Parts: sequence; structure tokens; C-alpha cells
Amino acid sequence: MKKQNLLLYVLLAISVAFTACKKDDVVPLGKYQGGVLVVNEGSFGDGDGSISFLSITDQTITNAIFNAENSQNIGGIVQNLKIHENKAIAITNKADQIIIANATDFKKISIISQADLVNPINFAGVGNKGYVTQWGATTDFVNYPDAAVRVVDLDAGTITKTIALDAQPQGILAYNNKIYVALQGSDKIVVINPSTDAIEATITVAAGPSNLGVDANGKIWAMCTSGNFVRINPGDNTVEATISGIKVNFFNEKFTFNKDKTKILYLSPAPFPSTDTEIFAMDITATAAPTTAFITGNNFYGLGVSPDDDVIYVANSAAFQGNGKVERYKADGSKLDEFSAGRGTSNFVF
Amino acid sequence: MYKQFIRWSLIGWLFLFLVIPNVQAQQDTTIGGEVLKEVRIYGIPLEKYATGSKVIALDSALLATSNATTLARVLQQQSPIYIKAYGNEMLATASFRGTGAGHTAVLWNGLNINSLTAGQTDFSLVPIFAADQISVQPGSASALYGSDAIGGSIHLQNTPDWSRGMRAGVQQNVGSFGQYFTAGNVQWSNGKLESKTQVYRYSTNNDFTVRISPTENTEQQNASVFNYGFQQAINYKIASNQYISVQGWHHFSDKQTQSTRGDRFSNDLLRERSTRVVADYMLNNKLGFFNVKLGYINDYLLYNLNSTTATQRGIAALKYDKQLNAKLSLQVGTQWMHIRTNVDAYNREITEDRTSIYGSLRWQIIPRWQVSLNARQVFVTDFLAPFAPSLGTELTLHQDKKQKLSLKALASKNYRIPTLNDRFWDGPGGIGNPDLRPETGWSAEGGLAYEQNGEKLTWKTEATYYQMKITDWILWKPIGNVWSPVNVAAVDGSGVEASFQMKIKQARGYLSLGANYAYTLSTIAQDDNPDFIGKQLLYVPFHSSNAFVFWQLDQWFTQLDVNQTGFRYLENSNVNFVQGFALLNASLGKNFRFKHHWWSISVRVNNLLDHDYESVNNRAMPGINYQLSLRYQIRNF
Repeated sequence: MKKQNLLLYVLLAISVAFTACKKDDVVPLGKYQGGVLVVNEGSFGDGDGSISFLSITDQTITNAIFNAENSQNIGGIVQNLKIHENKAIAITNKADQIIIANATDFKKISIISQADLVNPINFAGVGNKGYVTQWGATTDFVNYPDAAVRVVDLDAGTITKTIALDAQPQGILAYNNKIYVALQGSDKIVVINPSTDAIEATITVAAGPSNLGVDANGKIWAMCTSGNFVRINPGDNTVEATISGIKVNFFNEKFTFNKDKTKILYLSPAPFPSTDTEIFAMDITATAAPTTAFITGNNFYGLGVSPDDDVIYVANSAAFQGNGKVERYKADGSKLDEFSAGRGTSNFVF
Repeated sequence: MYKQFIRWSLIGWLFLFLVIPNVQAQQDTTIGGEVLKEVRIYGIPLEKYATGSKVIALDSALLATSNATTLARVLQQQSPIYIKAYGNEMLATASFRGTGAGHTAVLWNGLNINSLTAGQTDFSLVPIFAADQISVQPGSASALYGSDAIGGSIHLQNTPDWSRGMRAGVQQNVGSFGQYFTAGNVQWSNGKLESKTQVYRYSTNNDFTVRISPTENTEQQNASVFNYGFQQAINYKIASNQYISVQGWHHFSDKQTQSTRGDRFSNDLLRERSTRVVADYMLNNKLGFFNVKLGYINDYLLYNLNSTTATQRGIAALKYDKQLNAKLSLQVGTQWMHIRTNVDAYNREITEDRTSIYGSLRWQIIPRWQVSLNARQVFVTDFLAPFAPSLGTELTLHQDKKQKLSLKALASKNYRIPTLNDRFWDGPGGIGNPDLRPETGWSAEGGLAYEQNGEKLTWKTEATYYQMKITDWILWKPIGNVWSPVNVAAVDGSGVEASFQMKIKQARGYLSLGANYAYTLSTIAQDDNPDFIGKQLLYVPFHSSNAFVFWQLDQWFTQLDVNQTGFRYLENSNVNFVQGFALLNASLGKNFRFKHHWWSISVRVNNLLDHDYESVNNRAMPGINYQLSLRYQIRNF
């Protein structure tokens, strides 16, 4: 008991110190800024997801920062972590929570957990409004009657609105004051106007749009479970290009861009029963899928590129049997180094 | 405040224990503390061909005070097995000698009752009430018991009792978090025919307090349990040297499955039903001992009310045992098992036959030295299973009227047939691997046992060192875009087990003490991830121990037990671990008797120190909790 009290006092003292700092004119870099946040989604049953902080200046990794700052587990499975307006928003889809923390010190602000928040996946924010894709409950893994985007008041930590959708809303992107939602269980991407929260357009793409990103030319890309990349012109919501023959995972397709966003890097598992995973690189002007892998290895599970130095970060899940790793590669695909992270290393936030 | 109360209660307990003098009185047969019976499988003791191994009978008095709980709790309290419990009264699997959940054979009246689909037993579904005797046999014994007996075996026995008359009883327990246990039994025998009927029912809301963060507690959600079951035994003595025994057991369980700490809206449900019947015919004459066994097991599991996993197995077995001469005895037998499945995730019906043949030879070379040789070969449909031999020996180093010191050694080759899920799964997210090889284990152990038998005091102690290697260890891994099992790992195990048991007869009662300690190394010797080589296998504690004392004085009985489990790594890179814990439990009760009527009342306190612990990472367990038990029996009225 006494130890816990002491801990509380120490935490209190630290937070007072931080509050004091805020009054200064020069805003110092927060404890968890100036580095890379590493998402470890955790193993399926253990609820042992975690966030690691890889400091670029110190070249050291600190694991389980949320757990340490809050004496509380972040839970699992951590599907996504996003930084939006100085808030860190983590989405877990086993504990089914939206966890909002201060991005500089990872102190918990609020946790949204309610009976109808089932299988939330990804986040995008506009101002104080957060948009969270949710699959909703299913009994047959085919039909998802409660699929939706939940609108969150980030300061209040409450769900204020539910925009009903079809078919496994997976990836979500805020771009040019619009919200784009990829419906992985269909061939649609819907566009939501955040000032009205109304669906103002529906774009038909290749089947299974999974995750979304924006390239150097301001074009939106969707990686689809049907083995396609789709390029969309957000000016008129038309499909400009569809590149087929992409090796895919069949759910939650993971891709990113290089530093200047002229190249797409994407993750492909080799087909069963091969245990390899491959990373392909493709120009944003390409008309055909690349045929040879750029980087190959075991248990690759996530991908990111540093916007500062073009270094490629690969999440190695270690097949969930042990702690995962962050493997770093140069832009030419040669390996730099690696760091031991948490369980089920899956994603990066720069 | 109440911690002080607990401390004083403990001191009081010890005081009581020390100062009450021994006064002459007779020891009655009571319900609160029962007499040890010999552990047998219908006429042939378990130990007969298990030379070099040890069979630990769980203390029956302790079982009697815990009879409203399950094997999960009792094994943790009384055996060297590490029980991995996914919450209170939730899925509980065993790690015996540092092995995996499927490496413990659980036999009910000689039949392996491990699930064919998952390959393990959920010990939270085995009520203590359902077995007359429970014994634990550490170490590999596939030659004797077949598949899964790599880490050890657990034997649940229901034994015939032909003592004449009628007995009936009822029991009601009430406990914390809305726990209710109700049971009844009726037993009748005329010396030739015996019938025993038992029913039981258990339920709990399981809404204990869970710490979420230093400033926030919540009630455990989605963890309620409802179980019931009944058993019927009919034993008929055809003649003094032959009898028929039929045992039936139906167990039903409807439980919510407790999620991880802080998950407030989980709603997973598990409904399970097992029906088990075993019929034995025994004949013992000049030609030898014959046993014909027929068995049927129907396991049914419904997940979230929409996914069915059901299997049926029929078993027919023959056993013949013969004392060849003064020194040699021989046992041969065969068992045939037919399996049929109805599993949604297999997308087809699987039928499989497993036939095994086995033989055992026991040779008493000289009175002080005996050797047993056992061997088994199983034949599985479309599947090659390994040959499993074992050789054990026991040498008495010293023996006199009061004491015995013996040396034991045992070497064996063992196996585990991959589960049906491992081979035939074709459901969401996973695909089985029909090309899996069976897991193979090599094991060698040696130990010293010492026992002293006095008029008032008997005690025994035993220490064993073992080494084993398990190859072709099966793990489910993400392979490409699906999860699939592979024969990827090898594990080197070694360790020490020490046990101590003591019984002191007193003028007005008796005192029983016991302790176990296990040091377990389970090192990953081979894996496709080089980072794991040399690491301790996940969820294997290096240290675990337990101790108990049971004391009966006149009509009073009391018990104190402590069990300790060291930290366990929760993954194979050995960075993250679950904290170790020690739990202290106590009970106090009194028996009453008036003519044919017996009563017993007892109170039990679990987790007396109110330790906030976890057996499995992030699965909350309850703090201090209480149970009140009332039992009534009427005999020979």
C-alpha cells in the first residue's frame, strides 16, 4: 500500500513538473517525442499489447511506455496508434477500447469502453473529432450488421455519433478536410464530410480496399485484399489507376511510402506453407506490380519509413512466440540494426 | 485492519495447535477427514509395473475439505504440477515437469479422458466430488498409459465398495462471489450388488474485485460459471473372484469466459458436456487376471452458441496379467479406440482408429531388487506412431522393521499423437497440418526414497532428478497468411522434485503433513527463431512448492496449506514475465454424530493474505474469499 502511495506522489510530482514546464515560452520536447513509437499489438489471448519508444538520438528503445506511465496495461490487440493534436489514440479490438493519452508523456486522458464498441480498428482525426472504424460483432465472420464509423469527442472522451456503414470498415484517412473510409468487405471507399458527418460520396474500387495513404502528388492509394493497388484522385473521387497482381495477406494490407512519397513499400506474406514474408517497392507512377521483393525475411508484420532519413522500419512479430523486434534497413534494402520490442510488434508512428 | 486480524488468527491457529494436549479418545469414522485407501486400478495396483516411478495419492482428508472445488485447485495445492488458470474457475491446464498442456495424461478409471480435439484436460471441469481417489504420477509413462503421458499422469478412480447397507448424504456450500455448491449421494449394497448415485451442482457469479490501475477497481465481468453433473456406478460381484463394474459420469458446464484485466464488455461463452461410461469385467483365477473393458466418451463443446466441437470415442480393451513364478509377472493387453468427430471447423467428419498393444514384465531379481520392462505400440489411421518402451528398476539399499531406503531409476521413450485440431483444423484463421509427426519424448530419472513406519509416526520422503528431451514439439505459428501447426521445436527438460509426507497418530486424532517442491528447467533446444534457443519455455516456473498440514482432534479438524509458484516468462524471449505468488488457505470444521446421523460443518478461507495474483498474464484472480460447508450423511439406518 505504502509503495503505491509513494509511486502516486512521485507521479504527481512529475506531472506537476510537466505542468510547470508548459507555462514557459519554449515548449520542450516531450518525453516521447523525437523518436519512433512502436506498436506491439500483443498476442491474441494475453491482452499484452504495448507501445515502445525508440529514441533516435539515444539509439535506445523503451518498452511498454503506456503501462509504465499509467501502472495499467494498454490491453490488446492494439490495432492502431495515431498521434493527433498532441493526443495519442490507441485502438484495441480484443478489449475493444479507444485509449486516449497525452502524446508527450503517454499519461492516460480517457478510455472509451462501451458495450456497443465492438472490434474497433483504426482512427483518423479532424480537430477535436475522432473517427474510428468499427467492424462490430459477427457470428459468422461474414456479416457485420454493426459496421460503422464512430465519431468521438476527443476532449470529452465520449462517442457522440455513429455513422452506419457496410462490410468491415478497415482503413481510415483524414485528408483535405475529408474522411475516407475503406470498406474491406466490399469494393467501396466512402467519403465523409466531417462538418456534417454525412457520407457525401462513394467510390467504387477493386474488391477489398483495406488501408489508405496519400502520395507526393496528393493522390490517395488503397491496397486491396483482391490483390490490387488503386489510385484515387481526391479532386473528383475517380479511380485513376488499378495495379493488379499484388501479393496480399487477404486482410489488413499494410503499406507505406518512402520519405518523399514517390514510392510505395508494401508487405506480402509468401503463400502458405512458405514462412517468408516479403517487402516490395513500387513507384507511384508504376503501371504493373513489382515482381521481385525488395527485402525478405521471416515474420515481417509491419512496415514504416522515417520521414526524416528514409530509413525503413520493419516490425518482426517473432510469430508471437517471443518479443518482437524492430529491424531497420537503409533505403537500398541493406540492414542497419535491430531492437527488441514488445509482443507482436506490428506498426510504427513517426 | 483485517490483515492484522488475519495475522492474529494465524497465531491463534498455531497456538491451538501446540497447546492442546493429547488425551485418550477413540477415532471415529468421520466425513470431515477420511481414511487413506490403497490406490488401485481394479485389483491391479497402479504401481505394479511402474517400477522406478512414484505414485502420489492425494491426501483424502484434504480432498474431503476441498470436495466442492475442482482438480485445478487441488493439484495446485497438493502436487508439483503447475496449473495455468485463465481466471477463477476458468480453463486450467497443467504443466507437469515443465512440459506443455497436452503432455499430461488424465485417466479416469483407466481411460484417457483428454480432449481429442484440444489434446488436454481442462481441470476446472473435473470436480473433486466426482472421484473417490486421485493420484498423481510424475514422469513419462507412455509405455503404460499411451499418448500424452510425457510430463506425467493423473489417475481418477471410482472404486467399488461392497460394504453392506445404505448410505445417503447431502452437502451444501455457500461462498464468496455467489458461489453455491450442492451435492447429494445415495449408496446401497447387499454385499454382492452395489449401486452408487451422485449428483452435484456448482454455480458462481465470479464478480470479484479486480484492480485495473492504482486508482481504479472494477468487478470482474463475464466470468459466471454453472456446472452440474451426475454419476452412477453399478458393481456386481458374480463370485468372489469375478465382478462387473459399470461407471457412468455426465458433466455439464456453462461458463462465460473471463477476459483480460480491464476488458469490460467481453461476452464469450463456452458450453461443454461430457458423457463418459466405462464397464469392466474382472476375473481372477488360476490362469491369471483377466480384464475386459468397454468405454464410451462423448465430448461436446459449443463456443459462443454457434461453433460446435464434438467427438465420440468408443474403446474396447483386453488385459491379461499373470504371475509366472515367484519372481516374474507379466501383463499383456490391447486397446482399440474408434473416434468420430463433429467439428464445425474441420468442415468434414473425421473417423479414426487407434489400436495399441502393450506388454509389461516385472522381475523380482532378488528380494531387494526389481526391474520392470514395459512397451507399447499404437497404430493410428494414416499415421505413424512411435514405439514406446520403458525400463525401470528399484533397489532397496537398506531395510529393517521400521525403515526403508530405496534407489529408483527409470528410462523411457514416449509420445504424443498430434491433436485432431492440429491435423484437421480448417476454420477461421487456421489450417491444420496432416503431415505432422508425433511429438517424441526421451526421459531418464533417478531418485532416492526413504520411509519410516512407526506405530505412531510414519513418514516418507523422496527426491528425484530427471532429464528429458522432447522433439518435434508442435507449435501453431503464422505461416504466410494463416496460422498452422509445425513440428518446429525441441525442448530439453531437467529438474528436481522432492516430496515429504508424514502422518502422526495421536490419542485423540491424527496429524498429517505434506510438502512438495519442484525445480524445473525447460530449455528451448531447437526453434526456427534463433533468439529463443537456450531460453526457458514460456509459462514454466523455475520454482514451485506447496505444503499442507491437516489435523484432526476428536470431532474437530483443521487445515492450513500454502502453495507457491515462482515467476513465469510469458513468452519465449524471456523478457516479460508474470509475477510469482504464494497463496495461503485454511479451513476449520467439526464433525457431529448421533446414532446413524453424521454432520459436518466447516469454513474455508482461500487466499488468506489477499494476494493480488495472476496465474496467466492479465487474468485477474480473486483476493481473500470464503466458503461455508454443511454436510449430512445417514448410514445403515
